[in-house]
Amino acid sequence: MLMAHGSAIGATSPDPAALIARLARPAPASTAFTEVRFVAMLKAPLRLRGTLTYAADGALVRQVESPYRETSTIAAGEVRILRAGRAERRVPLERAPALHGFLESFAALLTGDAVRAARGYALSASGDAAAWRLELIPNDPALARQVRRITVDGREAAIRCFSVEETGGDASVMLVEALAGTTLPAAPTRAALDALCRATP
Amino acid sequence: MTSRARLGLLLGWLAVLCAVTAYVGRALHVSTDLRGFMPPARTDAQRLLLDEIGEGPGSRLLLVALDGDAPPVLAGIARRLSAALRDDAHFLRALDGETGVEALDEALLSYRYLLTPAFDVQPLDADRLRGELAERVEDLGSPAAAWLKPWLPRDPTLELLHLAEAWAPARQPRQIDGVWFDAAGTRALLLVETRAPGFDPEAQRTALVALDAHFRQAAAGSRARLEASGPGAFSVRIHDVTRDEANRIGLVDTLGFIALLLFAYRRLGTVLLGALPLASGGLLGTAALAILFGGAHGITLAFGFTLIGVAQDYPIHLFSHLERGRTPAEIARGLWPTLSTGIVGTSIAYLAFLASGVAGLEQLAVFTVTGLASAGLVTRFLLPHLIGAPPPDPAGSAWLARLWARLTALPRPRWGLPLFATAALLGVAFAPGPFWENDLAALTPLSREAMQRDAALRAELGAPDVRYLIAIEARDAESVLAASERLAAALAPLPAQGVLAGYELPSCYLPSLATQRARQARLPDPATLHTALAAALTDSPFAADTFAPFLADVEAARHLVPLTPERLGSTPLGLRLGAMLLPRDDRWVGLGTLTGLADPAALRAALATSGVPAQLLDLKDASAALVVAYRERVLVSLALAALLLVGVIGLALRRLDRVRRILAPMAVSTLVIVATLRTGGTSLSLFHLVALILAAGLGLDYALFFEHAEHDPAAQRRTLHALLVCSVSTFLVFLLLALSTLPVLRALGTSVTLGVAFNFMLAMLYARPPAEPRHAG
Repeated sequence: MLMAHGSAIGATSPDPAALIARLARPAPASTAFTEVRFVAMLKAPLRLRGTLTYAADGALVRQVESPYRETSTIAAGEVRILRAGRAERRVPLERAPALHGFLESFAALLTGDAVRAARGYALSASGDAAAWRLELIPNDPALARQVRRITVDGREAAIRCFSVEETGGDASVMLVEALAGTTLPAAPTRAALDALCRATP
Repeated sequence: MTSRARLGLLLGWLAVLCAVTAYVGRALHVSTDLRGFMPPARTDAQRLLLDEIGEGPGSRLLLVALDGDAPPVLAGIARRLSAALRDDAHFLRALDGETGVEALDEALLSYRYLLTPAFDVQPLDADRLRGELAERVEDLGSPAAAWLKPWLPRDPTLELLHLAEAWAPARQPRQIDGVWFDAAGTRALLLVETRAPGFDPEAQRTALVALDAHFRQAAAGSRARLEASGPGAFSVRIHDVTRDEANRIGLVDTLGFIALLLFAYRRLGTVLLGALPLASGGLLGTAALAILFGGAHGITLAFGFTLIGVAQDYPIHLFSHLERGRTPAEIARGLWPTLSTGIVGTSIAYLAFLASGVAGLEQLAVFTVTGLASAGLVTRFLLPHLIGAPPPDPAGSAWLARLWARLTALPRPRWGLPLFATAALLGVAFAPGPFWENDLAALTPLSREAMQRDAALRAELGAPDVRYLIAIEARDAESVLAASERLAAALAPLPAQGVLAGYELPSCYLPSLATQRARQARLPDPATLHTALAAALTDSPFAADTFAPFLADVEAARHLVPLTPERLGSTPLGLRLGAMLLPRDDRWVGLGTLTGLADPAALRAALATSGVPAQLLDLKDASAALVVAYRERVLVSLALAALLLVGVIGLALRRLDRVRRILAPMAVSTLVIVATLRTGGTSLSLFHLVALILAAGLGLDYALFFEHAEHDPAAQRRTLHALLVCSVSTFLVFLLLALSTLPVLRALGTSVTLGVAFNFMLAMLYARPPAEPRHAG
């Protein structure tokens, strides 16, 4: 589990850099996740459950346990996707800028590295310590063509949701840590997930 | 002759030479294709080898490694470099590890259903679609979603990706940032295929210069370095290294030679005039090539100038024999019978090359014979009229007199020559290693490290072996492709059996028309496909109208005119195929490359039982067989030359004992050279043979002049002076070559240096008439 630590943020609108600095986790860190993907060509959103591990060497391992099993390892600039009984598929990260961006922001947050985050994104923060929201808008034109924004919701020093909004209208919301075990309806809406992510205690 | 008349004559001749130079510069086309020096093929395998050597896809591959900077920087450079190379007409393809779909042009996208074997076994029906769509849902949930999403409506079975994967090398190196790297992760790797054949150094140089320019642009501001390896890069490097070293040695030789002549004749004018016969011979020989062949091989010229170096001795004989009281013309006339016998004898050895049937050797014969004859005629008829004040007469030299006395006092036992010959034969019989060197690679001037780096890169990249090649021959392209498909089926189980790691056949890129038509016929009609898709979609999360572009593509594919090599034209796929499927006279040849061939015998057996008109070419064996065939031709030519030589010398001297005195020292010297080389552990190559002919030519001259030596002490000293200057200069010139690091130059240098020493000694001892009524000392 990603461990929360540090003291509470003040009541005023939070500073993105201070917010990110408090998110630092010692690697390796892992969390269960529940991910919902809204894809235009699918009739209903895709719901996935699994574990996300951030290894000490910077590699990100995403293990899907349901509704099927799949292990993706993101390291050395490529994604290796392995499903039982199938040949490994390798995709260079630059073929998947959305994923690249997500990984970059994720890594910056988990290392508490605000400078790294600010290098690739325009940062802004809103809310308060009990329910803050970080918004990352990509600077890189190649990434910006695919990803409109990444939103990170959290409470105190813990992350609750990672959301990626693509330019084509597709989006994904990943619930982690405290929210990872949430039971979702068969067809969750983005509004309902948004509310869940921003809910105050 | 007045000095004004001499100057006029000299200028007149120089004008003639200038005119010849101008003609040669215009008319002579110098070729560098090594095949000009290959003998005609006798077997099918040799014919294919000669056709494909340097043109086969394996020999066009350059293995490129980038290092010297951080891996992400190198990866970026590799990507920019390969993109630039793909747009450059010098290159057929550039692979950096990206699994791209760019091998198929937009216009060819619908053809994927004719190119892919995916539906040969399991057709494109509801079951198949249901399975594929279930996987696509998982793909949309995977990190690869963003990458695959744009293709799915058009290509839900991912055929483009499957084709791109099938066209990528069988064994892939590791990747960093999507670019191939070596196992250590410090060098980015690329596979580049040139349009130019591998063994055409000039065309390869152009390609390498282009590669370097693209690299410098792609790597601007970084510390990255590029290393290119492979047959093409090697042929350029061999060419450069050999030329540089030959030029360096040539310069030192020329300076040393001039110094020696200045020491011998003390007159700059004499030394300069001495260059005239050789210069004239070289130019006229080149002109003869231009007239008779319209061009010359680079190797012909390089070797030719070495071989006609003998002609430098001609003016030396004239200069050393000059004496006050006789005009140079008289002296030249007196020397002419001896000199011309030598020229004719040497020319005969080279004339024998005319019968070799090898274009390069025939050119060599024309060049050397023309060159030697011209140099001889210039020495005989022009040079005497250009000489002003003669150099100091060596007849007056006291130390030459002492040397002559000492040399003639040496014992010359009758059993000397037979003893040397016997010892030499024994030496040859018991020498270590094989007598002949059949491996052309043994002559490469490349360092062992360069070869090892190439092998390592080849292994990392899974690049095809350059030694083995599968050749499929049939009457047209369609038959070759059909045979290639049957062969692919026969080879399919071999990688699992460990016979080889992988193979690439022309039909991997373009199936035969028959196969394409069969695949078209198997594609469902619109109504059937629509029903099947609807059935597959019933319990799938995909929205119903998602795959309209897919339906349109399949329907288009059903009505396409199947692809032929011509229709692929200069698309990336067409270029790739063009290197593997080539018209040859009235037939077509398909070439298959192999990776990691472990068991050639098993592969050969599989080819034999497949019933496909295909054969495994072992370029190493075939080239060794070619070398043997080549050598046989040269040896037969030389045997012929030896007989002719005996005839010519016999005709010139008319006495059996004189003929024996001239030829025996030369023949025994040749044996002794061979024995010395062999006992030193050297196996003889063609270059040694050429050097032996050169040495024999020198020996013939030495013997003729020693034999001719008159009984007048002054004349004896002049002859000794001439022969000393000749042999010492030649010895020094070739000694430098013998010290070279390049095997070819070393072979020439060692053999000729030994030849000068042995020929001089033996000719001095045994070519002189046996009894001298009045002893000179």
